Amino acid sequence: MRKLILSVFLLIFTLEMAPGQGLYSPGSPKDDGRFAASTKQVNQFFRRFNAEESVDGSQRYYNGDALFRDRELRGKFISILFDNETSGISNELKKEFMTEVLSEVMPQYINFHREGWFAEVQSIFTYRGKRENVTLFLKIQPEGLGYEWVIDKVVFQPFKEIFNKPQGESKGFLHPLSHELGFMNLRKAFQDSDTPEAFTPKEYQPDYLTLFLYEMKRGNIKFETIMDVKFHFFQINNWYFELNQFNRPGFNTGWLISNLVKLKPGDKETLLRYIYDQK
Amino acid sequence: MLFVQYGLSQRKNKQFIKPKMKRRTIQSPVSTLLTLALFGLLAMGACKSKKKVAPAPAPAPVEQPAPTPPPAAPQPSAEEIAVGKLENYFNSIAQSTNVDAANRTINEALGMFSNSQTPVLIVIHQENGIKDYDEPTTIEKYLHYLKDTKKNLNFISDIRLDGNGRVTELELRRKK
Amino acid sequence: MKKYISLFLLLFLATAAVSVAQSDNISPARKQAIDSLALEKVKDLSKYISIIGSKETQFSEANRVMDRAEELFAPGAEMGVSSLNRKEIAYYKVRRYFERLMALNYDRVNITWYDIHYISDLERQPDGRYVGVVTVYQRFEGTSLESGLNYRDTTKKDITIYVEKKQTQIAGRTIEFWDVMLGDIRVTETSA
Repeated sequence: MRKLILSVFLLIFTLEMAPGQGLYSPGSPKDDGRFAASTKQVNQFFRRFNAEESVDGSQRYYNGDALFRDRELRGKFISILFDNETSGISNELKKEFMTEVLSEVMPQYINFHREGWFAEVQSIFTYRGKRENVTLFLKIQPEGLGYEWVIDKVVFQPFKEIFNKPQGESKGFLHPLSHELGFMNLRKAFQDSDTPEAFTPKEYQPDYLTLFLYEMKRGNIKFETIMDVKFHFFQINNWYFELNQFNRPGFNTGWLISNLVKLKPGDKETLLRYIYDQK
Repeated sequence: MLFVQYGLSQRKNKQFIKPKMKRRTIQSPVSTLLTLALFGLLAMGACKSKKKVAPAPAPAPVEQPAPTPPPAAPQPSAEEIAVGKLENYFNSIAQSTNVDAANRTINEALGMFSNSQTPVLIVIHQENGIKDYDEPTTIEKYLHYLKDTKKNLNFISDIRLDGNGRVTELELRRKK
Repeated sequence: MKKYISLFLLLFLATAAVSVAQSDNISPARKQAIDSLALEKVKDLSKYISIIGSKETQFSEANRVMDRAEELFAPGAEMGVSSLNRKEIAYYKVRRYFERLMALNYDRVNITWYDIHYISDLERQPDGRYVGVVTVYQRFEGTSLESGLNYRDTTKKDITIYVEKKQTQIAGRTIEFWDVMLGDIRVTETSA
């Protein structure tokens, strides 16, 4: 009996040891290292930035693995995560950024599920039959048993042109005793003015997303296609960076940091206003 | 401060490494034992279904100790013969360069099965004795799969035969 | 031998108890097995594409292979294709993509993939299914003997994979399996 088991075991063992037909046939083109070097997915950007995978990307490191978030490995990874060909981020700035991120006292990591990063998507829609550029901002949020990307904001030029609240003397108003007349002057205000937004509070902001969805429901806006995608990161304390995809020859390709800014107090809000471009 | 922090992280690392090493030393004999156990069970299963090959139609669900192990060793069982034949078919279909020839071999191989919809299970992973399978397929689909993809990635890890010696179920496993 | 069997049983029970609690979790080892399963499906797709694209393939055989290829996908999956001169995405339903491929009718189609791939983490989506992305690089070479035309490109393929644990009854037993389905595929021409 024991002999039988042993022989069966040996048979299976040798079968297992036999060179199985690998994933790649002999005729496969060999990567000269460029695809390996490329940061192929945003997911890989996260893992490289945090040193959560092996140099060749074939092995995911988990908490408890010797090289998981290894400081030296991270340093090597992050130094290849910048766009070196077009963005012109100075070496001093990179160095300062890396020193803070790789701090031995308080290293900083980026986190897929945490707030502080979002996508900017350049897309094309038809609006009343005409092709128009639309910028969508998407963020990730928990939902149900997992996560989902949701549309947070939209920038659409035709809408922006509609809302143009006049300033100063040209701005219409409802005089302060309108209430005594039961606001009968609203009739004149709306009839004579093509800028009814003049009668809104200072803090009024048109909600372009609602308008956009409304027009889509009415069948006036239809999705056509996607042109481009990039990401904005505010997860590193006092730093902002932009992530862009570079499809070009060479080794410095894929998802790379294309813009790096050190933030002073208040800068973040200014930058966000600029990115979201809601006014 | 820096040093203290470094020391801490060092210790943390060690904590993680230690149990892992310990586990590994324990695990390997365990897994060997488990594999052995598995094959033991397999061998028993083989003996059992061989009983089924005999005219007695009752499937006899009662566990019986392997009746006659000694003769099993020298002479290949019906299962072993079937496995050998099937592995040959699998290889020849996967290596075939001619679709018609491959289709002929497929039809020949199908003759060994109780029907063309005989289930084929593929174990992709086993953890703590629990088998993870790929989506179950049928022998017909699997044979065509071998022909189309020209790769024979799995070996037969379990086989069941009916009273007529036809295959009623096949379990495969990925060659490493 | 008896002694051993009881030992095995004990070990088996002990380990089985542990695994029940985490059967829905994807451990690193299990993730690796699912990864290679997903990668295998991706390679199968490439094989099917070569068969569909080849003029030597008989019509009936090509249709059968198209069915098999389509079975790899979740319903409604699309290909989104862009090239170096055309950045915007052109959308094709998977079946339509295969049919176009069959209509191309190169005498010889050689589809190979580079010896590199990348597999993302698996993320859970709201309905509890897991989703991941496998990236492969593929070289396509099509030769037409009549015109002597030779078309060649290298594309990056980012392939969605859906992973779901399912159960089925086989011969009266409950079999738990991992259903790995391909989803939308983003095809980008690369300058390699």
